[in-house]
Amino acid sequence: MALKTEYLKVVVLVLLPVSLFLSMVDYYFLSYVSFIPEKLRGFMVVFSAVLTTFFINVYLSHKGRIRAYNRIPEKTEKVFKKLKEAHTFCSAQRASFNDIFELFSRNIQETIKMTEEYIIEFVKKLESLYSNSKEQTELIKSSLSSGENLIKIIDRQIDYNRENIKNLDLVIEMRNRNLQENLNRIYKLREKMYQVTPVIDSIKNIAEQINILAINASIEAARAGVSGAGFSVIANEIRKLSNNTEKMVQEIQDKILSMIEEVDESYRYFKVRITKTEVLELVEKVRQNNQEMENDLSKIGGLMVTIINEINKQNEIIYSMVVELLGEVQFQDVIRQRLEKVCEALEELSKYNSELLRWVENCEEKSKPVEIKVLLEKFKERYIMADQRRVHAEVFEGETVIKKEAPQIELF
Amino acid sequence: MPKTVLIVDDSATMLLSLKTNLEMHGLKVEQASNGKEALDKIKSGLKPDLIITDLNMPVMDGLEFIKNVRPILRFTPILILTTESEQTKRQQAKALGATGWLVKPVSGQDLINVMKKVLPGV
Repeated sequence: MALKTEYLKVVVLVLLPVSLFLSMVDYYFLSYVSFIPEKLRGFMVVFSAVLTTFFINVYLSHKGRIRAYNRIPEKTEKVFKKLKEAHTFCSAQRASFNDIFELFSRNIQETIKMTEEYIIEFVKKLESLYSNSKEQTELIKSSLSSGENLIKIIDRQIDYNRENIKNLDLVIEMRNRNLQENLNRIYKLREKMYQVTPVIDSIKNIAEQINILAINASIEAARAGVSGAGFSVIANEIRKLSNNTEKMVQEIQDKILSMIEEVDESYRYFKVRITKTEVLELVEKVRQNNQEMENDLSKIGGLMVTIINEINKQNEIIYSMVVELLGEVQFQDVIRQRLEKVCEALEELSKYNSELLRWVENCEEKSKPVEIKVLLEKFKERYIMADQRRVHAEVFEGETVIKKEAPQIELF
Repeated sequence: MPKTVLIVDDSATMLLSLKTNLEMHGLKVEQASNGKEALDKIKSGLKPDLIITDLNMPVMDGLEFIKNVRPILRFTPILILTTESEQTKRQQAKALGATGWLVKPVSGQDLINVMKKVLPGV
């Protein structure tokens, strides 16, 4: 633009005035040439001026006499040189550009492959985790089932024990009843023996009275003299008899008292035996042990149920997590498809780049490539995800809000 | 007798994750990596109780597969599980006889819930 302006300045300020001056001279000489009509003279002067300007221009350009004329080709040459350099540089880089596109594309493909391999491994491990968890749960359930069977056996044993204790209780009750009956008999015997004591006392009194009577009879016999001698013998005999009786009664009384004492002792002994015996204590102990065992087993049973429930709960959690994670791994497919679209775009950009550079190299023969906008429109048409459309809109259309997509899950 | 589900997807991760999920729910799984492979299996006598297919696949895409499979399996529910969110494709799938449309990623539980609706007894 600057060169053009300088050139025009030279033309207007130098060449045109010089040409006009020469034309005036021409006109002056033409006025002496009579065969040229006057109307054509002006035209011929202008024509001559233009022609002169042209030749002077050609001459000066050729000779390089005017500075401005020299500078225009110099600058143009410089620009062309620069352009040529840029063109050579771009041509040299073109192949590298395509290699770089290829590099990006390959990297993305490798990344996709890598994520795919990792995700497959991940899913396999998830599957293994679930299988192990399930197997472990089954194993624990089986162990618990064996434990439950054992508890059932012990439980049955406890029932037997309980039954035996009940039978023992019956036996003890029968024994106690017998004891009680015996005790009652002893009690009655004791009572009867006590009833005998006053009779013995009466016999003893009678014996004493007989003795007194015998003494009185002896006295009376002595007073009667010889006639009472026989009576005195009888009286003595009666007195002896009375003494003997008294003695025997005393012995009987002592023996009865001794027997009463023994019966009392037996009574007390049996009475204690009824309420408290070793057998009873043992039975009570067995009963307590059985009860304790029952309580323990009940606790173990409860614990086992709790364990089973906890394991089931944990298994449910693992199961839900595995199911959710199996859904989450779909992100790899989503990313794969997005990256594949980027690869496709890179490939097309690479082709477009080649086409563009070929056209720059030979713009006269090659047809002009389409505008890059057309390529972008193609990209846009090929998007399959809402997010791809959103990003495109945000980058190229400056839109941050796009229309709402259809629902994620739809049953027709 | 467990119910059979045919899953069609060109992604190895999708096939494996779906297979694992469905087998965990007591289902028998058959798989194919594109529409043609799935169609060949059906023509060979496979009678799945449910088909879950992707849409964008090489060789034969999901829509083409549904178009070909519908005359053979008239009443089998077909679910499309895809990243495609365009409404026109959805309408096309509906017109061809698809039963439902699910946009990836779908949570494992959501997938099972949908399956329970289209395949009673799962």
